[in-house]
Amino acid sequence: MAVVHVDPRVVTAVKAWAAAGVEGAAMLAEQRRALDPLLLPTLIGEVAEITAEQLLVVLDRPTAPPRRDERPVPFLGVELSQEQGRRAAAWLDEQRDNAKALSLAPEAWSEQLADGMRRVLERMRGRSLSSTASALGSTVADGALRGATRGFDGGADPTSSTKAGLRGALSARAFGNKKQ
Amino acid sequence: MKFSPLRDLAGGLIGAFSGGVGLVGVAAKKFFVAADDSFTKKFLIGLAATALTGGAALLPYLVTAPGQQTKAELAVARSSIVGDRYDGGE
Repeated sequence: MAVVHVDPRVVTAVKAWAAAGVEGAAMLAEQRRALDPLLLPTLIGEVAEITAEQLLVVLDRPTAPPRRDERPVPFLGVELSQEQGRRAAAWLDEQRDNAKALSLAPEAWSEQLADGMRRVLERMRGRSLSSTASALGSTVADGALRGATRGFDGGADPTSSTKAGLRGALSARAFGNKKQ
Repeated sequence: MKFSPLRDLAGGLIGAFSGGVGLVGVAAKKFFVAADDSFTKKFLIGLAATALTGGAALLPYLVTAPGQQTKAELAVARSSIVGDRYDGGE
């Protein structure tokens, strides 16, 4: 994909976040506080798009062959393998910290992620994605995470299936941490 | 690796107990070593007991490792995306 050009101060903040590894959220909060407030919407947009792409990338990473008795993990209406489910759960878990780091409500952050995913899918048009990543990307772009945050206020479960597997773990780590 | 009070305390206590008291070494000597055994056998059992002593302290880390690994995978993916995005993958 083509190189993206935004204000260098935003690029510096995003690179610091990326370089912080598993402590990324703390670094993101620090960068957000230090950044010119006028650049905040750009930072949020960049982080949302990168985070959306991150979900597609980790889902498309090779996984170990599924065990014979392995049951698929339902996630936002898409069936994932157990390993993909673990990655998706960890990704979802990170969103709570990202929203907090950017000082956004979970609903606002889920909307940003949906916008980010739409831009990623647009940029990735023509590139090969697995059917799972493609389906989940479209679901997120259509606002499924927004539905998930509503769901955790007492509505439908975002995993939206009665199947077992990692469902419990996904629910326990779910967006907004409102259903435990 | 992020500080985790429960995991790090458990690792420290197990290490201190099995190492400090010499629990593994004493058990290995009692069950596997007789007075007339060769020096090599005694040495190897002592070596295995030492490895077990150190290894036991790592148990809490091994138990929590899979979650950390998934988080690390996410962090690597993020870093790679950011590199491609602003520097064209350089």
